Amino acid sequence: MKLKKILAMVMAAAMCAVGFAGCSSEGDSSTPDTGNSGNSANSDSAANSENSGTTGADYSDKILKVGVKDSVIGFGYKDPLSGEYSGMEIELAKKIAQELGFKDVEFTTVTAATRTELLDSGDLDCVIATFTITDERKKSWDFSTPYYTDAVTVLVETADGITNLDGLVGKKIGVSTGSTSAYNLAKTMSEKGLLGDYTVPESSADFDISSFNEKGTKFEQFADYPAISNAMAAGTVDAFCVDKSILANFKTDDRSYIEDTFSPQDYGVATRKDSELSAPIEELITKWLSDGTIDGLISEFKLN
Amino acid sequence: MNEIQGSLKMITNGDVLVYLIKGLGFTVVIAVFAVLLGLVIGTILALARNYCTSKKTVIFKWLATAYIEIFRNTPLMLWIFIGLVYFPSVDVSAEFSKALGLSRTEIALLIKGIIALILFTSSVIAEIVRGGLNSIPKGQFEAAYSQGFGIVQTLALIVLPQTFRNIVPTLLSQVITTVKDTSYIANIAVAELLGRTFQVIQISPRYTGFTSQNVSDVFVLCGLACVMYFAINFTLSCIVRRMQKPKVRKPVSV
Amino acid sequence: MFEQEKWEIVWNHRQSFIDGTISTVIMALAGLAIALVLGVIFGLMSTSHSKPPRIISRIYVEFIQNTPLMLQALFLFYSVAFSGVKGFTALMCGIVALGIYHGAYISEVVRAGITSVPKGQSEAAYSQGFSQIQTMFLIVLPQTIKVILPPMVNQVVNLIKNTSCMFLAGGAVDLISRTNAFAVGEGTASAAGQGYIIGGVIFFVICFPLSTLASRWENRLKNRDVSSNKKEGAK
Repeated sequence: MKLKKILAMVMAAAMCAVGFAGCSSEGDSSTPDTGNSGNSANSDSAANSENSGTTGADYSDKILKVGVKDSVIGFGYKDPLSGEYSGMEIELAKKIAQELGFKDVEFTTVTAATRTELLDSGDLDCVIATFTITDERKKSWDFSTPYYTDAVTVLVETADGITNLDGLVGKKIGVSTGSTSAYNLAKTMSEKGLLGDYTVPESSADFDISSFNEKGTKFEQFADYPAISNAMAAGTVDAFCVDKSILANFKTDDRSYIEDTFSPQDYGVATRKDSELSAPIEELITKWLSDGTIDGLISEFKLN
Repeated sequence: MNEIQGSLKMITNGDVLVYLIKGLGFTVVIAVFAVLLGLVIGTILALARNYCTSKKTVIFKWLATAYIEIFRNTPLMLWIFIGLVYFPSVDVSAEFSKALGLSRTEIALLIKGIIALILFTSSVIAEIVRGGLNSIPKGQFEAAYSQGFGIVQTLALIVLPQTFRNIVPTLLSQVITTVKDTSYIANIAVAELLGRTFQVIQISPRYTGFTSQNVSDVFVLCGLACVMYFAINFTLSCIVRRMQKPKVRKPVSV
Repeated sequence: MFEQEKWEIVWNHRQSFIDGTISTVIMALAGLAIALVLGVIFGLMSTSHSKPPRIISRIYVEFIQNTPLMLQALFLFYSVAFSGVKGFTALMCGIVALGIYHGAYISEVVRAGITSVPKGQSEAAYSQGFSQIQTMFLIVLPQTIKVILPPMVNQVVNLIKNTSCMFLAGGAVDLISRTNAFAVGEGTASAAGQGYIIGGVIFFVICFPLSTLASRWENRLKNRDVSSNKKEGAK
């Protein structure tokens, strides 16, 4: 009797595992990228594709999966308890889904550590998450025309008395994993001659953030912004370097920006390389840039 | 004093409490699921490593050995990160995702973490099962063979049932370890208890009425999470100890 | 997997992996030192004749073993951070957290070792005029070494694997976190797979010899016990 029970359990579990495998292959095919099954004459989507000029793909039974930020007020912010998202990038995603005729839009919080990986794995259709367009990234993903331009700066504890880039020499600087800030900061500092003879490599691919150590200036990488803010409160790092719009969330009365801002950061909508969504999204963004829709969003969320 | 009162507001705030308790639910379900599936895979691996010794089947022995050694000697977190990119995405229904209160991509993410956890746990369980198999006296095999049982029959009818009975306490301890290991999923998804605790710590000023976090917030939130983990694991470890006791007495009564 | 340019990216960033390996090894060694000290102290306390030390040791072990290391690390890091103490780095926090966590496990190993030595031994020692402390350090503990070494080495392997516990709060310090930072890095993400392979291989190279050693010792011990039991039985 006991044996039978065990066997039954094993069988059940094995079936579960098989089910898993089945699910997964289904899951892959249902993303719009590969599952472009229907060009059928759905009147709804036909109307949609007309006004957005898409390739005529039918998304009416699909959900647009968008990766967004959850801790950047104004861009992408999620109330953790209610689960509601708000911000300019959220609105942008909703508009894209609506224009392309998706049934619905679904948001997923991404960090620097997960955004590209989820895009690669097909879990997300696009990423609208203060994602800076760079030459290196363009090799791996498609980007739309920038919808917002920000600059990098550095936040410090006012009590530490750092006011400009000179003060950062020999300090530990907190940056986010997968971000461009460390490279840009090192570049700006070396151009100003603050790092002696050091010059940053031509390509950011050759820049080694975690072993960087010039005149005692070092970088510490964190998986998420709040962790950097806390580490600065803890004194583990002396400065917090990311895009200014993100830093604004962590600016308190005891903290101040340094005088310098540098390296304009262009935020774009990222999609998989050669995804069928790349072109229509690009069209929408350029359209909204020229007709003032995006400017409207920027002023609505007080980002200017 | 005021700071502590502010922090305590988070416990009396029903929303925060419910949010964390849901996390505990995820933790427990994930751990149980991982151990059950890990037991299936682990048993297969253990059998392959122990008994696939003939020339034809020895390849399975080496495969199982390689699997076990690779997963035992690398950290879980590595597999969680690798899984993020390379494991299959499971698409669940919209109703299911609504019921769990996570987006479908978040569930896909969570499942990738769980797969990593299952793969990792199964290598540990394989060694536990192997220990159990090795503890069965050789005489049992010989007796079974002499009665005309084949190797499969011997294993399925005689050896495995005894093995499973013997390793139940060790498996329960493994559940405790796995409950703790689920916390590594916090690095990629906010669903289980530790991820949620971390999340609330980041935004605690919204509930305490202060402009930044206080030490007392950390104490209250981590303390709460500690109590939840402890309640579950301590209960389990008490069960383990109770089960192990009669086993020690057995030889005396025989 | 074999594209040369991707492996070149990994090679250009070798310093990340070297630094990561060094901090993982430092964390592991320093954590182990703390864990050994705590483990021996609490292991002795748990075999003490009086009740209070036994209870204290029990509470420590139960509390630490039943809560996740990451939670303990998070608590330690943030509670020190927000109390206004400066300069408590993630590396230091990781060392302390690992030490406290594995100390609980090692104390259980030590306790099991001590109880495996027959009572008659210490009774004999007392009768020869040895004090309790002398008995413990001269008679009992040396005999336990043989029994506790294999599980101890297993603890060391677990400790090395657990060095990634600081990533969430403290940032990329250890090898796995740095591998992840490399894998998602702006310029390096295209070589993510290669980075993970390297990180995994380094870990394997460190842990595999240790865990193999542990299981060899364990088997040898078992076999010796079995053969000595047989001999006794034959008598």
